[in-house]
Amino acid sequence: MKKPDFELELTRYLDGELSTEARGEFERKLESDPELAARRDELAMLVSGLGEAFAGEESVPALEPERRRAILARASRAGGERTTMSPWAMTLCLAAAAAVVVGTFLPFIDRLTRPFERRDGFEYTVLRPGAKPIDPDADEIWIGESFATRGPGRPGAEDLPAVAIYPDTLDIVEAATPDQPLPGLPLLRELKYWRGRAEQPLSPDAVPAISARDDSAAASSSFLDRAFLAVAEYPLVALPLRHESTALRILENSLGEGRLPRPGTLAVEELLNALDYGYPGPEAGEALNIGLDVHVCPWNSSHLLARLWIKGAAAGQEAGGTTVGPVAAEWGRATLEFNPAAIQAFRYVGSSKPAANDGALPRLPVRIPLPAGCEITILCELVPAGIPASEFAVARRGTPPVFEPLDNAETGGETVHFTLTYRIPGSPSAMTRSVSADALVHPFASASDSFKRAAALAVLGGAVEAGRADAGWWNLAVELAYAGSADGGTEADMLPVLARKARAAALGMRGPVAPPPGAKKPRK
Amino acid sequence: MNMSRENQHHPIQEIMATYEQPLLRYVNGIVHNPETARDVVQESFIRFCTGSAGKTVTHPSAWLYKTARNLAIDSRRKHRNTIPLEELPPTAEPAAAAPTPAGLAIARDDARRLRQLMPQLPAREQEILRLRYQAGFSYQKIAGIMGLSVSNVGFILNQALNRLKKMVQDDSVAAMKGGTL
Repeated sequence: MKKPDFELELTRYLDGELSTEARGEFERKLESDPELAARRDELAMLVSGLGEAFAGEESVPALEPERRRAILARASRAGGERTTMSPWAMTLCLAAAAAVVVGTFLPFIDRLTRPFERRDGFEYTVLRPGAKPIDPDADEIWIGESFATRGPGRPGAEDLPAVAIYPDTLDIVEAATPDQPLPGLPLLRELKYWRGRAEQPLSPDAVPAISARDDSAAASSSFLDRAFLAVAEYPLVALPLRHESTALRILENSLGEGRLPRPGTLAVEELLNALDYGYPGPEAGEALNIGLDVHVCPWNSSHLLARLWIKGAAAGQEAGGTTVGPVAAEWGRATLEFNPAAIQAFRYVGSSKPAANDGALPRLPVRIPLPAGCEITILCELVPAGIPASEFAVARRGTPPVFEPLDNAETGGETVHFTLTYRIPGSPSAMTRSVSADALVHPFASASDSFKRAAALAVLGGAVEAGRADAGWWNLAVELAYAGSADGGTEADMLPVLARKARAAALGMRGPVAPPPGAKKPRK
Repeated sequence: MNMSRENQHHPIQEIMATYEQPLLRYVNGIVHNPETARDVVQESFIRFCTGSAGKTVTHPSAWLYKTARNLAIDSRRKHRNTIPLEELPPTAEPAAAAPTPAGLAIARDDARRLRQLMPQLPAREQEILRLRYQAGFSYQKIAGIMGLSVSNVGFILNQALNRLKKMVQDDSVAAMKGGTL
């Protein structure tokens, strides 16, 4: 039996959070385990002491009379108690105003008021009623660069958590049901960050974008040449999900003709997802499994490389009370949250088309259906805190970054936090899974073979996109491809061959190129 | 005339009477500034009045704590926004107070000792302990207020209690050593 489980159970027991059945069972355990009973007594004393500690805490000075008056005045206004007009005059004025407004702006009123309605048992809490929503018909409401999802009233999304954010005030409107009083927690977690950032709106799908000031970066679409984004400006991002394999076919076809694809034609994020990495599937009842690994970046040893992966349940498995069909999740949304105390900048390892104008971000799909058995891999290159700013280029959009410690900075020990929100077809609510990476430095050599394969494809695709002609990149791609193939597998074996062909095409080499010393020979 | 209106009983008065001091303590635990805590609590009550007008708030305590929490975090963030990177202190952890003979004498009182030790816990753990053992909220309610899952609440509470237990033990050992010197 695991001690940590007992510890958790013990706390829940003392807090009265165990069910009657579990409580009875735990009490039997306590009777038969004196050590556990002693721990219970110890913890109970601590909990009791805490109660006393809080009770004896010095009071915070109460609200002054002026503040109380201000609150009561607002309460009266909100309740309609304080008016300077007679009720009749007020009624007439309101009726006249309503007639004009309804006749003229009925369609707009309908749009603007819809999120405030009570329907389907949802109760909306409007934090600031004066705020105006934008495009309430959209499934995802893009406001400036902020994000919100609406639930009730949307076909197929009636029971999803509903959270709306308003552009002028960045106020949040929440919808709640009696049995789900505070819905949309993952979204609220994000929205916390958008609040208070009115001067500098953030993009939740902020794939690394090219600053208009950064001409060298704009010249290439390869992530290898792209500037980083400052975590101070983008502490939380939603990353595009891709599971196509077109890029691999493009690469294979070109290499079959003895040449590399033209820069700008290979989507590295697609290339990454062309291989089968053998990720473990979800546990019974779950539709998706996720993972996060962070290692030293193979192409820059002072940086880190984070890999996020998603694995869909196989068709026929049970998930969320239903049998998985062709689609494991109706939609999935992956967010990566950086601990600003540990990471200062990042760039997405994938395509980013040069911005048409300053501030326009590429719209890559961030919420897509996830097929049964799908495997999705996302890589991000991270710059740890402490690396001098002169050693990497940062694309800045707004004000210069200032330190803005978020909640995650206080959790301590975490580098990045990966959250996947998804919805199982037929399920009434969205589900969330999350995983964090610790702040330890894990050498690249200790990475799993599948991580190395992903890194090999990143170097390969990045070098193609950047039109790199120096041997160092291609040798690195080959080396990583071999390193990632030690665990065998048909697809794994294909990678060294591909890398060697690409190197040959890039460097004008003809014939076979010797693999690195000690490398495993690819299987036929 | 206005005076008489102000003296009228309003539901918010009951809410304020019930939640003012608990909210002030909770918010002060986040912002560590009584004046800012009063600002935040005042704004929370105002939002409660304006936001809940014409609507039924089934859980006013959770609503108020959550709103106050968001406002407190915003307030703390705004304050921190003004600190440039290069002016950051080397560590965000609160400096542990050096034990003094007087401090050790006080530490013999359990409740006081816990109050002394609590600021050394990570902010999130302090907050969760406060919500559980001061406000008396269930895991479900705490999860709603803090944006966590219920199982996470249990985990963090357990972690906080164990950490605190260890700190009490270490502190006792230090006190004993101090006493023998």
